[in-house]
Amino acid sequence: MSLNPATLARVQFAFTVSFHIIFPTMSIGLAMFLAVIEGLWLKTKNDLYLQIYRFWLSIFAMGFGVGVVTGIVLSFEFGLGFARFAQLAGPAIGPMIALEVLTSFFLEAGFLGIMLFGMHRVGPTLHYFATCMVALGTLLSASWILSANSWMQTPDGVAVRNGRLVVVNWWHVLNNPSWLVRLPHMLSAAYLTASFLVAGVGAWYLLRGKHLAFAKKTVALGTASATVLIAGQVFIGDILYGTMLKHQPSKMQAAEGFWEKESASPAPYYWVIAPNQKEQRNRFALGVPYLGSIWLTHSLHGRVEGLKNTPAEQQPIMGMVFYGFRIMYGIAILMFAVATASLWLRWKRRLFTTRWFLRCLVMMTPSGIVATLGGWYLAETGRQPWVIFGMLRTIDAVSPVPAQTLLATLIAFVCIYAFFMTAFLVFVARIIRRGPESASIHAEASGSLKNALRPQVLDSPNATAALGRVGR
Amino acid sequence: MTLPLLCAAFAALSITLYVLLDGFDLGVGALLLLQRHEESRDHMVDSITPTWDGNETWLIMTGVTLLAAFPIAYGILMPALYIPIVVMLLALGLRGVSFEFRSQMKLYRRRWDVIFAVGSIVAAFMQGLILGALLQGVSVQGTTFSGNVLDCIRPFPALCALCVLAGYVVLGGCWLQFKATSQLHGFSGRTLRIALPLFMLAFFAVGGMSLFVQPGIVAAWQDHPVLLGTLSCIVLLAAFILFGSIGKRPDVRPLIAGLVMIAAGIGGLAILVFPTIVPFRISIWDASSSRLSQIFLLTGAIVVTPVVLGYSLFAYWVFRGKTPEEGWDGYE
Amino acid sequence: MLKNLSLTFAKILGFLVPSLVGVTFFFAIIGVFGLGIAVAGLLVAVIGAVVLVRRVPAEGDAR
Repeated sequence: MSLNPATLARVQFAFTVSFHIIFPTMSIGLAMFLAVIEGLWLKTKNDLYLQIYRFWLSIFAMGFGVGVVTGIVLSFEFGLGFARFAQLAGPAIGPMIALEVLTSFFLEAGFLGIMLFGMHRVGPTLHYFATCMVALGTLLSASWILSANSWMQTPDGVAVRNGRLVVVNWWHVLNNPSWLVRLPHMLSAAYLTASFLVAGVGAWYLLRGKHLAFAKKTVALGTASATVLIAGQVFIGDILYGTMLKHQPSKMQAAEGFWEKESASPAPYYWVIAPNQKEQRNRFALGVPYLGSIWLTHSLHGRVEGLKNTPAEQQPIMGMVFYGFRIMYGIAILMFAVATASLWLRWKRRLFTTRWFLRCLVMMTPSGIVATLGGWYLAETGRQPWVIFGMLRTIDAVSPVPAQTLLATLIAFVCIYAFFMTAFLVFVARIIRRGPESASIHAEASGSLKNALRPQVLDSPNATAALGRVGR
Repeated sequence: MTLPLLCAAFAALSITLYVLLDGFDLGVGALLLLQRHEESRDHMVDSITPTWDGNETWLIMTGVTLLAAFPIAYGILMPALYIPIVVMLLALGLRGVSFEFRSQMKLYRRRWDVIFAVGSIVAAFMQGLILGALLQGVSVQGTTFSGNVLDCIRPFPALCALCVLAGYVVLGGCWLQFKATSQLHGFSGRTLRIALPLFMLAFFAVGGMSLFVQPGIVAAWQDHPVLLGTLSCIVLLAAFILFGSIGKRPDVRPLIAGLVMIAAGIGGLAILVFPTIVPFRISIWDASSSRLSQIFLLTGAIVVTPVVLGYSLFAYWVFRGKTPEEGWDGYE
Repeated sequence: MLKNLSLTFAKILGFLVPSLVGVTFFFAIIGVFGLGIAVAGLLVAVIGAVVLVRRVPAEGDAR
């Protein structure tokens, strides 16, 4: 196998960005969850909420840490692997990412320290403010980065003069045609991810009959928010589908698995295909009859557009786009089913006792993460062969870095990231196994700004009750 | 015409803040390797834990400012500095996760501390290599990097790397004298007494050697002899003040002297390379991105930076005074 | 015998009713019956879920 720098640069970017997105997805969702929980604690003064907060805070902190360090890599990787892309797109995406750093990274960083270690020093009210600021930071971060990525999907507001890109209208760059649909889709995905994480861990405790108060509360909260969110998510997803069909038909053609310009009527909805890109046909395809017509054309006999509508040299690789989409969509359907079941069981007052349902929840714990990854594979591989859709091909954007160097650094990234992931999972498993009670909960739910302004509040008798790391 | 200048000033501000702030973080991290007592290591890490994330964000800010305001330079420098940047990022990653993971278990904490220290040292070293590679100049053809990725691994960049590492260790020592309780003062004092002379030696060696490596530096000295001479004197003076105040009160004096020393050094570097952004090759005007992009960036920077500095200071204020020996949450 | 049968019947019904309701809502929300019905379906689903969650606090979900 000959080493191709373009392929290696793409694999490296794909690997690092896929690894990274797992952690922001969790921290966007968990930050909001923590803000809600701390708010409930301050409102009800129920220590159970503080226990939930502390338990998830320690997991959030680790995930956030990994997210930060893998995110730094990305801000340099635009230039490391794709120098030409950086030079062309810098004027458009650069300021957006710069504003992301200014408005959100600093916000998160500034208040994260207080959130993790500052309970003693600032008191609950200001601490709650810090939690909210961190949640706001994750939200702003998502907004900017989605705007930048959406601009790459549906570029707008720019012109090319003398080979350099010139911004003509910032409003059109920021509010490009897909941003306002993709942003809620991603945020809702992150909140769903957190809901299933929280509900899954709670369900695991319920199945083992441990930490029951904590478990019931988190299962109830997790399934309730998941139910509301998944309904909205499916709706937003459908709107986004329409938007992308209009602006990037090649992506949606590849996502449905049809090759011919018009599919058979009625069209099936494929779940498994073995595409042969070279011969522009499926070697094998398995689907549900009629469902393709119903879902995609909203009629019983409609025909679906295939990938041959796009010239071969502008086609994405169907297999990756298709399976990215099916993984996301399949999980969405499962989530919808779980949500429906949770409502039914709640109605029947069997939410905490139905073991098959709890087992489902445990299995669904990472579902949000997997679905988000699938969705991003759909978005990013579906954009190919373009890096900026319709403007710059990925192959033309690659840096002048030799293949051996790229391969060596790719191996280094894989090894070190595998180490991060292992450590993260081991520690999360330890925290979960140890349970929420290992951290004491008698912090007083009072306090004010005065604490923050008074130096040396260190030796209070309740020192062990502070928020932060799980006790050893 | 002034827009690129303002953008360059903002980039200079963020890289300066990065070096000054993450400098002592990395220095403290490097010193973990020399500290034998676990309680002391916990204490050292605790002194930087609440604020390191914000300090490191200035590095991202620098990179992204380059991407936004000078995309041409960004696209040349990233491939040119590929190896040190990737290694630095991985090292910073290892250091970053160590903050979270070391607190999770007592049993293997020693190993996490070694990872922490090695990550800090390697990151500092790579930043020095980057500095050295920039000063010796990168090969450029048109708007593309045309050299070899291994160009940065040469004696001069290696010397710069030692200089930067020593400088960070000095800052780390100053920080410990400022934040740590008196128990650690012996340790920080010993560190400073060794690291500071080493840093000065490396600093002036780099200054001398750079004249032979890069003709542009000779030209800069001829253009601004007074300015560069003054800054060198400030570095020297600050170093003497620092050396004199080791172990004495007020505890903050070495830190201030150290920060002034490093800031003056950075100021000198800025004068050397000005007005180029790919040093001695491409000027800030030739590498500029579109007007509206720079306006957007600057508007954001001018509005938001004061707020950022405000709550960053607030975070330092919340964790002011000596770092408690039992840790921020009383468990340590 | 009859009791067993009715129990099985209740079980089947307990499976069938939520499944049918779920599938209907899913099809409606993804726009099979048009955007208007999709929005209506979404509103009914969200409001229904919120009302149900608030009115029928899960056992142990002390408020």
